[in-house]
Amino acid sequence: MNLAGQKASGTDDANYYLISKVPIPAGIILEVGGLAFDDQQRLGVCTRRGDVWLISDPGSKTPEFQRFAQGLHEPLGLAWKDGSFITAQRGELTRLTDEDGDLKTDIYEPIYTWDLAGNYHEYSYGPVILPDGDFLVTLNLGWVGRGASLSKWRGWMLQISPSGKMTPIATGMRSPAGFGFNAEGDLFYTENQGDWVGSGRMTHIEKGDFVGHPEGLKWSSEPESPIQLKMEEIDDSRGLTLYESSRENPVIKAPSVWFPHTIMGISTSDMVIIPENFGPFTGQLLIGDQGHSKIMRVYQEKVNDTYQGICFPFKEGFSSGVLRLQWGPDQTLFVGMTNRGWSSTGTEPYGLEKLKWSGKTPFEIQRVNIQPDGFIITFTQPVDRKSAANPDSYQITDFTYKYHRFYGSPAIHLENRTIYKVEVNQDATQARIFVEGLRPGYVNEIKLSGVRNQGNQPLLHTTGYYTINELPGSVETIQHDHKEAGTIAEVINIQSSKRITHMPAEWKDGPDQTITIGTLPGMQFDKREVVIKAGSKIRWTLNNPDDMMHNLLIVAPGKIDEVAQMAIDLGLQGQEKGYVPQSDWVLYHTNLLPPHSSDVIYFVAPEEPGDYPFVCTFPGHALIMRGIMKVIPQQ
Amino acid sequence: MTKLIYFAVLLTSLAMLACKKEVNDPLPDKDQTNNEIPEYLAFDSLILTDLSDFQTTGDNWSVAGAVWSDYQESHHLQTHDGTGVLVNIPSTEHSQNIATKFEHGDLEIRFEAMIPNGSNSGVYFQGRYEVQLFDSWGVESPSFSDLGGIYQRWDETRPEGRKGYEGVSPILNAGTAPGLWQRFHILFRAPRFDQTGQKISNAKFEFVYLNDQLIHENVEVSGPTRAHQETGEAARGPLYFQGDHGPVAFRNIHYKSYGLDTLVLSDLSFQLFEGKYDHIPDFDTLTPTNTGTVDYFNLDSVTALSEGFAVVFEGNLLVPAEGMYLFETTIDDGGDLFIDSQLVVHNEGEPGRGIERGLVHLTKGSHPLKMTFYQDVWSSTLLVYYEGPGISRRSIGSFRKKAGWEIARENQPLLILEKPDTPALLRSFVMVGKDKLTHTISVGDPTGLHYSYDLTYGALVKCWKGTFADVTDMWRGRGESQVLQPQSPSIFPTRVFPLAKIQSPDSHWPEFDQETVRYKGYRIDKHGRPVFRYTFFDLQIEDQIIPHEETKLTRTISLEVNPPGQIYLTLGNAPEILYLANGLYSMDGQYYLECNEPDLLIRHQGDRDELIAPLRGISFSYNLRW
Repeated sequence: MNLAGQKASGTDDANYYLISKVPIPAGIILEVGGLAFDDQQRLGVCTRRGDVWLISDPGSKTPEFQRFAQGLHEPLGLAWKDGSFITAQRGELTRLTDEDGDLKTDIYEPIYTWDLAGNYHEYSYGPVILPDGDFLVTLNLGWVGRGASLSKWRGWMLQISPSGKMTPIATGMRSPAGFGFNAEGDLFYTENQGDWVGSGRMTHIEKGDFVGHPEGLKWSSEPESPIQLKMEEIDDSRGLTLYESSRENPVIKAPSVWFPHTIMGISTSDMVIIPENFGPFTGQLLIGDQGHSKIMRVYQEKVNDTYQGICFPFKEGFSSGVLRLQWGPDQTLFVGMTNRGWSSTGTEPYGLEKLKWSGKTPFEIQRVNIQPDGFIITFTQPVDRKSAANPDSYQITDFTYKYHRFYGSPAIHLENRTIYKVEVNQDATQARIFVEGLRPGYVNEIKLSGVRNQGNQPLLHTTGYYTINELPGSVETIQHDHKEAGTIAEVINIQSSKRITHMPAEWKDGPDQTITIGTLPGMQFDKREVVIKAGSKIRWTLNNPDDMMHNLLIVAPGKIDEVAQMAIDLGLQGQEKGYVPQSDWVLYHTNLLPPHSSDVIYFVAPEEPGDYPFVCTFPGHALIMRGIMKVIPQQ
Repeated sequence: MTKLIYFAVLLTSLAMLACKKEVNDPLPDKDQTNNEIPEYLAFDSLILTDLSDFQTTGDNWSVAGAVWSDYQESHHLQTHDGTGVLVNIPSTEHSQNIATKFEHGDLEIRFEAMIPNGSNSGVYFQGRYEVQLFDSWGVESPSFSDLGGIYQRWDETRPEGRKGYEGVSPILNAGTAPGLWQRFHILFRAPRFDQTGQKISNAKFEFVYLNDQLIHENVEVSGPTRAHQETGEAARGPLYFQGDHGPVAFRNIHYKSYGLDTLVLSDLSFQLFEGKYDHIPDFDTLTPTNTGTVDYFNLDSVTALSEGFAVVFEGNLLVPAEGMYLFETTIDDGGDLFIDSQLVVHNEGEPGRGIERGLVHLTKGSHPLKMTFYQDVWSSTLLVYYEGPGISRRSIGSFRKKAGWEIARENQPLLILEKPDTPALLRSFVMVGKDKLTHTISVGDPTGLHYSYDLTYGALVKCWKGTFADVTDMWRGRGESQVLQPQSPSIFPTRVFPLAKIQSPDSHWPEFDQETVRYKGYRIDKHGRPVFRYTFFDLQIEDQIIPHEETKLTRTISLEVNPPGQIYLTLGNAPEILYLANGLYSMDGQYYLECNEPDLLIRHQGDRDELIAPLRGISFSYNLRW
């Protein structure tokens, strides 16, 4: 399978949605943590360094910045309510009030305070305002080599009344940076891949839900807890997926939509509802991704009273890590960014950008609705009947993720599904595809590479990922096959002639040279260059103390970008293959290393002197995470 | 998975290195009878019950119980009867210096000095090399003649204006107000001479810490400084305290005098065991994959592997003198030190790099030494330090290989917030001792007086001067520690909410109770400074800290209405609080507290003094100076 899910394959997507910068005055480090408009159409921006900036006329070429507040502890959310800004600092939900109208905070007032253990990973997000005026905040787990709830209610979503009454809502969260309502008013949160979280995802939240990461259950014995589930009850030794666990125990909630890791994004962030006059997707959701500097699109539907749906690429090319999304006047989407500590494909350290619709309608999959025996695919433009009626224009592969204590998961149990019939509706805007053997609990990669519009153009984005929780009309939904036997391996050992992990027996005097390279936070290797002699015996160690996955490939001179793209093109199979593409350009490689692990390989250096690049091909890393292995002549 | 903790711990220690701060630990018990292994061997002390540890001198020197000084009054030093403090009050008839009976070569010393307003003194190592004591309060760019300076040399034969030469200024002015105790920790190395008496190396101050700040590092002195007491240069000499320039007092004078002996490690061999170990293996069950000899614990010459091996080193340790030795190992990932087949230091290295210590009594002569080690993943470290009778802390056989990220971290400049133009507020985590306070705000003021305030407890926990803060550990990368750090000496006034309802002035101060004390945030006054708000029972409380004239912080606690009875206010606690005069209190000589409210009371609570007052009006103020 060769996926092009990353790139817009049709006409240049710049024709449809346009990115422009909000100019930031020199000296202002606008590492955006939260965005909210006040009642005068000024945009409030809270920053990771603790300021709140008030931007007048943010859509103009000459916006004015005024510092509204200072000194907050890494606030990662902002809202406006009843004449005040409300923000979640690390340890407190705070109301910021300007009493005298000079656009500076006069009163910093705690609405509610929660404990902190002093771990840097204890981020706090929010608030989102409920219809009754209460606030919702989410509390990130700490990090001690794994996600850990080191202080009370870490890993939870909390409801807080304006007077400071706190009610825990749900737990199982690991890194709940984005949350909010869909057009129907139901609550969702977004999650990042990590320990116990196989891939990025979004989950419908109702009071009493447990959504996957067991650490927050440390506090389920507290009298306020709406959840009775205990940490010990979460058992990953049986190899159940999260979906299967949710069917065994209704307290456990499976996600409504999975975002396949590295294909759709790597670090899910904020979510907003698409308003009218922003193209043909009104009522759907936009979801940010920090590491990939992009925005995805989600369409959800309810089947048997359960949310599920499909995600699509929407817009990439933002200049830094996309953390916050906020609608402004005239259907302008403000995109708040930071990449400090977690690098992004957009290489600026921070920024604020606007996204506007050009008024032109792209040829896209508008939505996908499930049927008992297939899907109805709706297009934004009438399709070319011939291409759309041909089953070969469609491919479906389904897969799922492991639910285990380890970091992330490969896509598992991949199968191609047969499309045995396609019907196109009368006005050629919908295709009904009939699919054999749809599997609840699985993500369906639905790829329409052959479908054309009536101008013979391909889709702007050919591929979406539909998560099936329920089949319409189905009763028995549990799939009992495909369970893995035995224990779950943390690391997939990639068997390859280019990854020799034991010293060759003929190396009687050991290696000629030992190279050790480590990873640094922020997608870097700790060495930019290593020098070795042509033909010498090399022992090469990659240490990964970072909390992301990395690999290291040594590639032929000048072929770094080609190899990096081939790794991305591995698509769903990427993680399973360690993002090591089959190519003669790949000379040697390590395993794909989870956080806090290492790998040692042995190889004989090339005979030909030259600059051989080494690179991490984990999608999104290759642009900056690279170095040179300089091979010099023997003498 | 434990490695990240190691990472965080190391970052913290790197940050501390970068700030050149000394961790101020209490001195270990001299008898070391408790089971806890000390961080260093005990110091000797000058016994200040009388002057019998000193050579005969003038009547200007005496022993007192407590001394105090009004920072406003020139050369003012007043004493109370008692012992424990060495006092110099010179007069026209008596103004001699004082010298110890002991003579020293290399000397490590800790002492506290109180220098009254405008006064001048010094400590002459070997009677020849002076660390200057001077009232340098408020000096922004100190010179060699300011507090902590290494005084210049003097040559009468040089031309006018150039008679004075050399002299080394302290790195920063780490001194506090006159009349407060200035805390020194100094390691002096004596000059070295060959057998013919020819000097082969200069005297050197290896380090000088003042109030926990590093003010000198490896400063050589080419010869005696001006007004030296002993002539020429020699291997030994007595320690002099200057008495002819003004009043001064000393206390807590603890020292270790070192000779030239060291431990010697010889005949070192190794056995290598390749394989994956995550704890110290049982070597008796293993067969070595290689053996050989080495000069020290040099892992690079033992194996080309950087991971997945274990080693046993065996050799001879030549001990120059009988006595108690303290060994310390810093190991990543783990290892044991044996001497005479006895386990001295066990270091499992969990998680990652660990520091462990052990005490052992050794006789003079040769002892078999065995050092075991295993390397699991990443960087390898095998550092061994020791200290012994007359032997200063040294490393023996140590090996260290820094990881690339460590080097990368070390090479980055710090993120510093300078003194702001308008009040700067910044919430962060704040360290007080070993506690990480999580709901804390720091306020930087244009006057250069800054403080940290614990919002949960309404406590003024830390005050300092100069540059506002080092925020590297908050704003670089992920900011793993999230700690804001001052860059100058701090005082630590209080950790508790200032008000409590108690029955009488003798009553126990109650524990903090979230039900009665509620943090309500802060408002910003017209100068941009925060006013902290609390409710205390049903009273509305405001707490404001305002700097004045770059010399004092005024804390004012105010209420909307007159308080009911039995409400007391605590102003601070300290090991000893001394009332001076005119509302001035010395808080153990660490800072001054000024308060002119009525009915202040010093009471003893636990092992500390506490200053409390009944709260009768709607406002209560006091000042802090340091």
